[in-house]
Amino acid sequence: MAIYSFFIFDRHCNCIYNREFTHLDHTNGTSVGQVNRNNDSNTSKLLFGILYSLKTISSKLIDSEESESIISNALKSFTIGNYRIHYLESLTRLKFVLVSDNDIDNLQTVLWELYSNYFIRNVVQNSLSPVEFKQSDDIKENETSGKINNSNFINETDDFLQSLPFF
Amino acid sequence: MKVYSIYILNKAGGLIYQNDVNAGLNKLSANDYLVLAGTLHGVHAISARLNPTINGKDTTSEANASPNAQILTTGRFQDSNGNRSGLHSIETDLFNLYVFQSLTGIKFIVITSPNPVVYNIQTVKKREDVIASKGELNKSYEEANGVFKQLYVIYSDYVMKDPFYSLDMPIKSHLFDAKVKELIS
Amino acid sequence: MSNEDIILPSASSLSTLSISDISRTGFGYNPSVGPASNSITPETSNILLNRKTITLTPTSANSIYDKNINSKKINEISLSSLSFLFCEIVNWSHKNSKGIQDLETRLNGLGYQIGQRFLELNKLREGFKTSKREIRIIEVLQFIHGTFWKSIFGKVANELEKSQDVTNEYMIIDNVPLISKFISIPKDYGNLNCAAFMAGIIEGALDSASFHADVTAHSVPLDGFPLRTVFLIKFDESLMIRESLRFS
Repeated sequence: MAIYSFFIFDRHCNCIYNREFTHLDHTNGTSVGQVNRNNDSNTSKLLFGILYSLKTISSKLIDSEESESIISNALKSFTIGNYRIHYLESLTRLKFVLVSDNDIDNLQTVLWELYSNYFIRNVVQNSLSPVEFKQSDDIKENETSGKINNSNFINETDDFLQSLPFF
Repeated sequence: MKVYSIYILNKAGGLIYQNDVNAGLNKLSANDYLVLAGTLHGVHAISARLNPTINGKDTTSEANASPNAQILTTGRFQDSNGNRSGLHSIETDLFNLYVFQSLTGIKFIVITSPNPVVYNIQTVKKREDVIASKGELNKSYEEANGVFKQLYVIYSDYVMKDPFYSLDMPIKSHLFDAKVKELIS
Repeated sequence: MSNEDIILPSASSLSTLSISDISRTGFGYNPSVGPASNSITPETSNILLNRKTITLTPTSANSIYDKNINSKKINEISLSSLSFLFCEIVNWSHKNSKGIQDLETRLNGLGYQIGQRFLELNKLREGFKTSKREIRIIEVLQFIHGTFWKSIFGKVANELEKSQDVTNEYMIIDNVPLISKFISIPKDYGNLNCAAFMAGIIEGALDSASFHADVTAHSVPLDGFPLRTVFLIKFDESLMIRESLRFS
């Protein structure tokens, strides 16, 4: 069992946070990886495209008599090859995505925790952190706005995810 | 596991068979079903591109290169499912969707009721419970694979051996319909 | 692009094969490697010794032509191959035909020749001591319904009936005709029944046993048997006269 990566997309379809874990050594429990390195890569764009399409399909197929909240957040996870991708969308249309292996069934509670606890506390309630990550056109390549660079958020979510028994 | 719908897509992603065996899903217009099939086909293709780069480890190319390489040496093939790196399944609150791809590129899609163990528990679960339910979805995937195998057999018999069926065109065979109904009930 | 690619487009894919690809393709001639690819290695000899490959030469000892024609053993062939062949026969006849009636006639004609020949073989295999020539209508029908049907389709036909209204009409009924097992007739094809081919076989056999008859196939579906087919056998009037002269 392993968690491979963690993405957050905002409502402008940008990847505002991307954490990849590299499982080198399972015995000493330390994991290395990259933070915010692939936000603009094809991987995150493709992933967003898939999420968007599958979400549309799900909401179409579900009986329209169901309540609005169920329809808008029906998609829970999907599998691609050997990976299972878990998905949670907040009412503000922030998309939280965790990529794990096939054996983990349900990470909804984890995603909810990441959103309700770590994201709200470290990003939304942090008055020094932007909440709107819209990228303007004149941002240079090595500038980092448009991403969550808040070290508290990074450290705390890392600690939380790595403390999970199935990490 | 209750099967709601069965779709069959040809190589190009066109919908050639659609059967809502059991009620449970929204009824769409014929055009919407075509769009749905096309979207799934596209997502499946994109997924295959996404897969190996997720954690920088290329695990799929070797699996894809020769899915049935052992045919020559053992004389029998192991798995008719050529779907190695593409979209396998989708789980939602109200249905699960599974994708099977034959080695010739035909896609079978089955939509079933959701797995009750995993998602119907609304209360916040303890971590131990999450581990305890390990692979529950994998089990339903295996179960769906059983349906796919039988479906593929019926397809090969009652569609491919019908002289009035032209390849890649919509399937209208009554016999196929009847056999699908028999399989699901 | 080099000239070679233009002249030999098929060679471009082969040229990407290398020596190490032998293990991937198993056993066989690899043009990019040359004769070396057919060398006997432990792996390839294993395939050869265990006869995992299929001999395609018809003159091998396993060929159907080399077997004793009198053999009582049932020779089974794959239903799939038969279905695909028949599928192609129907397609081909359909392409050449002017209409549904014409298509049925063509299928009937193709079956007719099989019936003629198969009757010969069937009688030969029965052996001269036990075999007899059927001279009564009811006897020949029982032969067709039983022995003949079993040897050609692997099972006895389901029912044999005599028409109540017309004296020279008989019916053989098969619940699942073997060759049209997988065929579903589209709605716009009316009452076409591909078992017309089987009707042709019966007609051929009856004709060469000098029971002149017209045989037609009609779909009469029942619950659980959507393919149930009635083969209507209409004997020639002259036969009825012959029958009454001989046995009354």
